Amino acid sequence: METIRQIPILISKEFLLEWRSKYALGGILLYVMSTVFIVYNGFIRVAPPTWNVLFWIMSLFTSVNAVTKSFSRENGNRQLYYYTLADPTAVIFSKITYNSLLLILLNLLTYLVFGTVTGNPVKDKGLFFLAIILGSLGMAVILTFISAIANKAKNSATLMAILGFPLMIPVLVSLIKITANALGVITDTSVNEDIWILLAIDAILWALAYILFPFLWRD
Amino acid sequence: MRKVKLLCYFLLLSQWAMAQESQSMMESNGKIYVVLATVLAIYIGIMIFLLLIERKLSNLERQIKD
Amino acid sequence: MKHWWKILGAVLVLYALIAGLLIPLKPGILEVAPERTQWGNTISLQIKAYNSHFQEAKELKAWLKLDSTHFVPTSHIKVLSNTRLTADFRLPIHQMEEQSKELTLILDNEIDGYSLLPGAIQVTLSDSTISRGFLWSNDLGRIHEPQGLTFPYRNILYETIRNLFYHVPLWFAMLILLFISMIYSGLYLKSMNTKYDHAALALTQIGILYGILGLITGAIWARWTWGDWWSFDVKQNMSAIAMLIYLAYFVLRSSFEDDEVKARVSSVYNIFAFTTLIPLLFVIPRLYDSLHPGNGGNPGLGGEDLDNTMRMVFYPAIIGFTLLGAWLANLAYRYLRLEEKHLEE
Repeated sequence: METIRQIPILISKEFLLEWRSKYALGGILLYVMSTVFIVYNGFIRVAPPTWNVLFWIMSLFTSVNAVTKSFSRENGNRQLYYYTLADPTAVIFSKITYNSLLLILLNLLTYLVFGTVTGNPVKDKGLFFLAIILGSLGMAVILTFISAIANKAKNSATLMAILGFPLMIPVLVSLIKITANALGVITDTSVNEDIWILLAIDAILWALAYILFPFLWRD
Repeated sequence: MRKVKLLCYFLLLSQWAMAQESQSMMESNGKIYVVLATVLAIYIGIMIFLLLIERKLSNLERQIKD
Repeated sequence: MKHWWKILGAVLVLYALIAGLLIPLKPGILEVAPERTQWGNTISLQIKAYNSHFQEAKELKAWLKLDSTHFVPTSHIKVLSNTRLTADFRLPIHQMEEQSKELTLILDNEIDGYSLLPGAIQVTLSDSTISRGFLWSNDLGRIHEPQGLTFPYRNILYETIRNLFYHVPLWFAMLILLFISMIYSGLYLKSMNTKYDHAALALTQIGILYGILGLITGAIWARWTWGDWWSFDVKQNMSAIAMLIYLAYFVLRSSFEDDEVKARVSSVYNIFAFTTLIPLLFVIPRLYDSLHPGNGGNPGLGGEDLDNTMRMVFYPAIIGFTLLGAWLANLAYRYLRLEEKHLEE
């Protein structure tokens, strides 16, 4: 019960921290805008298959940028303070939830900006949004967890990239396939199956993060 | 890390060696030489591992003796 | 006998080597010339076969097959050598609408059994209107089943079908070793005993060794069958990414100084990494077209490609390579334990 009570408090703490360091959020927004602008200048008109892949590449880098600081922005002493106050499962749960919300927001924003600037080829909007939500959940779990691991080591920023990118690929590849359906690039009857697989991957990773995090926590 | 580097060298070397061999030899006799190359690659890989562990073990033995 | 499993591993790998290399390939048809002709012609096909015994055979027969009820038997066979012969066929006038049809060549004799070459010759519509009245036969008569222990004959693959016993078991063994490694990581987190972490590390090392060897042998095989070292096949790409995930494991280990934290964090990563490996190797490759068997219309294992004779070698090879890997991991593990003991003193 104590754990469940802690979660909303910890999530609101994350929001507060984000709000206090507005420059970080601003930086990510600026990052989204400038990437879209560069892509626009490079391609002008983007063919749907390219649009699909470009969208997820932009989403990948935005997510990595947004989540990397998840653990490292709180310095050692402050973390020690949380450790004494809160339950580890509450901490990881609130961080993943917060990052999922943040990533859904950022990916929707990327979609909006990219869609208005280069043209919006999405035919099945519902499927596309579902893919964005499932993808954001998966990426948030992986990146948050990797951020927790990398935070334990020296030069954690480099480690974050080395550990994070290969682990993201399975999720990204499934996502690209699903959104290719949403864009009408390919028609696949087994798209429902893909969604279930993605959901299963998300659920397994979420559960693992939940089970394994207490072991990272201890010091 | 050194093991990884050595294996990379091995990969490059084996590719280079294969490229040198004439196409016709690999294609001859029902491509049996492809099987030979595969078995050789596995053999060399395992030998490299044994050599590395042998050397590490010798170092450790020397340290223990001192 | 404490070391029975090491001996078993060595024996099974040896068996896979000997049986896998000595059992001959089933005879098959390499190529046929000419590649096209017209309906109503009398043609003389030059046939090159593989592993066949034409000179020793007494009952040589050949057919061209359109479908299961339309055959053209040969009118005359001339044997040039054990692997070469010419067969004459008198093609009937074809009544069907299509411009051209591909015919399957069937060869049969009592030593080699029968062999097929689908699409051996393409027959186009005749220019001349003279009907020569050659007729279809609608029955093959008696054909011989192949005898003795043989591996299936496949065009393009030929003898490289034997690589199934050396390339594929590396992947199976790698997955088994990495899975055991993950279990040891779990045991470490449960008991905090360094010995389990060392076992996990040793098993991962051998898993990666097998993975890299799998990529190399796969590249060699791909070069001479698909035409390129790297074909950007989904399974190849995914396996390379799997290697990256596990190489990151070593990078992670090297970035800690404190041994306890190193063991703890890398165990956690190992469990997480293996979990992402499951969809990577099994689910995603099936989502896309792949050159590998079992994908996008390619025949899979367990279909025609893996017949009983191959199973007899393939399964022992998997067990053999796994046990051999466990032996190698055992050596690495004992080294790690010795080093730890030495550092403590």
